[in-house]
Amino acid sequence: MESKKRMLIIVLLSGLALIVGSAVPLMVQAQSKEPVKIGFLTPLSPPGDHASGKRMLWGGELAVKYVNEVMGGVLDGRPLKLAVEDDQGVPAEGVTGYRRLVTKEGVVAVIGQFHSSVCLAVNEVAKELGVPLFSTGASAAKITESRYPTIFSIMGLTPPRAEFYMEFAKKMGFKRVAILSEDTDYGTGFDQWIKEYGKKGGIEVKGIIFPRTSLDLTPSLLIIKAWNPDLLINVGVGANAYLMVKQAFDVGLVPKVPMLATFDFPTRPEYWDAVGDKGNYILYQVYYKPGMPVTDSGNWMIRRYVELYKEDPTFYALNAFGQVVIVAQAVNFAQSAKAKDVIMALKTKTFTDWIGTVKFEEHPGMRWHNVSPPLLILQMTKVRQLSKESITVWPPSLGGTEKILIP
Amino acid sequence: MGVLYCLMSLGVNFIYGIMKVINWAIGEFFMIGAYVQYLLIVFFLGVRYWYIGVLIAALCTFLLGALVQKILIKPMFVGIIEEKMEYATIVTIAMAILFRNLAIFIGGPFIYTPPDYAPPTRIGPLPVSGNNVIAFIGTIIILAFFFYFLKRTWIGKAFQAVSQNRPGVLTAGIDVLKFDMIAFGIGTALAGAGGALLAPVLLVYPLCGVIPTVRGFEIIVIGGLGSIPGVFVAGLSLGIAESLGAAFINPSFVDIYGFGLLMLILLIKPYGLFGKPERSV
Repeated sequence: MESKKRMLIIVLLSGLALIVGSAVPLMVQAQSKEPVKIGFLTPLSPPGDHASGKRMLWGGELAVKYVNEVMGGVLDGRPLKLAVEDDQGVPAEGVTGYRRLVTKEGVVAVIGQFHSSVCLAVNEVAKELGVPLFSTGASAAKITESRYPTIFSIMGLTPPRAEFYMEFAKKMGFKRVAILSEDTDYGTGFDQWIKEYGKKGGIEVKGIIFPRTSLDLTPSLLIIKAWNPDLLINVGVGANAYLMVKQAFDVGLVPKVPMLATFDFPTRPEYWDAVGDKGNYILYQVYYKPGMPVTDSGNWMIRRYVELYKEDPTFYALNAFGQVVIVAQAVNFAQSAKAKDVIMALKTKTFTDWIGTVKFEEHPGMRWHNVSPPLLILQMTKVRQLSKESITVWPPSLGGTEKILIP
Repeated sequence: MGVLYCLMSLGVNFIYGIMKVINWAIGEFFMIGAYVQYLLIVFFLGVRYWYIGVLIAALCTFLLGALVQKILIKPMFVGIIEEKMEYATIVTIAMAILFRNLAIFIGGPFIYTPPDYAPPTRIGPLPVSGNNVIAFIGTIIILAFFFYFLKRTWIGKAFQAVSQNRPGVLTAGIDVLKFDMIAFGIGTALAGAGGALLAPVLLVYPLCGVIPTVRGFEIIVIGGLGSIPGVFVAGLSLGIAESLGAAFINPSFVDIYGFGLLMLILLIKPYGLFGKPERSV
């Protein structure tokens, strides 16, 4: 009887041990499959430039797919996941979104910043919470000038871009350049730096700043027309960038006077829906022209992006893709999903994104943790022209014709 | 530009005159009118028949406005709700958010515009957009028709009566609730027509009604709440103040000139140019 009881206890204990023993690896496995989250904070509704935000998100989503399918996830097989927040292009919303991503979602990094005003506000909170923040499209120099350990940027900054435009203007023989900018950090930054480099280059500059919500730019455009400039720089974002194109045409300013857009909005198909024939002959600054040599991951992304969305990816979509891939690489280098370790990896390692290698150096001034892509000026010479078919005007070192087409 | 926002103000003023509630979603009806016009011109009518598009856009926003009034606003006039204005404010603001998000959901984050109604032209030495000229003329025509409708037709006179004395009109056998519904529909149709007229000028996107709403309310305050001639005079004054300020002082502060005018008018005439102090018991 006694031995039977002992036998029963042994059987029961063995059964328990078997259950516990088999459950532990399952738990460990389940725990190890817990996704690593990357925050995506970008404008997805107005007043932000949500057309840009949406495309950046498409790039970010493809990057997650790339990391999970091609790279086999992060940290030995853990899947990567995006946690998305809409900053609406409003600083207060950006700060709230960033806090939510960090405290509620536990993300390792936040990507997708587009508006300089929002990025500047979020940058302060990122410093406080210690989770890396990536500028994907925000170019105000003050962002990286802050030299915060958490800020990383792959983006052309406003001062070198302004210098590039004025160098272009000088080589084209322009004597007078007008700049019409919205009253945001992005716009006022350009106004300031264009004037500065204009002065250095001996080019006369007339700058007008307009309220971001303005719907009638005609008075400003008439003042500019009366001033008789050789080039008009359009520093609008979202609806006002399109309005400027239309209204400048209506007052007879463009295309006689060439207009230079400071980012790639003319490459979006809806540009032509919004401005029609009036948008032809616009010059625009980009960092990427379809057809440029890219890395394997870049080719992977471009192929799928075109398949899914039936258009060429914008630089910002590619940049969002590249930044997610970089964070995944940093997590793998650090062998940790802790923000502190990821920052250390970001600071010390070299990464590969869609176009080449990336190293975040602790340069002095605005170049802190900043990687600036090459700048190009292209021109649309036909209505509904694709970006890859538009003419490279500047610089000659990247195949620029140095000729602006004016009808 | 001021006159171009008059239809919005007129819509708000008319609804307020009849129902004593403010439709805070008027900008969204403007936006819906602009979207309808874009769809009609691009996919069905072509730019030659833009004016038919304006009429259809106005009709669509009329029907939508009447439906919204019947479902959401009418109950507060039937039941015993004391704070009608507060109720209407909450309902119409919620509606504005709903319509705006629906536009983002359906139309995407993209900006559209129908083709130009007219090519750029000149007024004396001044180059102007042909669309602005068309929108100006269209607004004047609609304002004239509306004024005629209100002053000369039987139904217009009935609206005036409802505006002046609801209980009195009720005792005369007029179905006030039906008039409320039509008034709300007319108000939203005016905004929709404004959106359709201005679609090629201000572009078509989910937030395209926001700034016209702000301008519209500025016009109402300057002209006087409930005053229809006030709308036209205030719209004209606002446009002139903004254009002159931009041309002769600084175009960067274009919004300030309008608000400056508004403050000046309020200092001199606290009820607006044509507004009257309201008495209630």
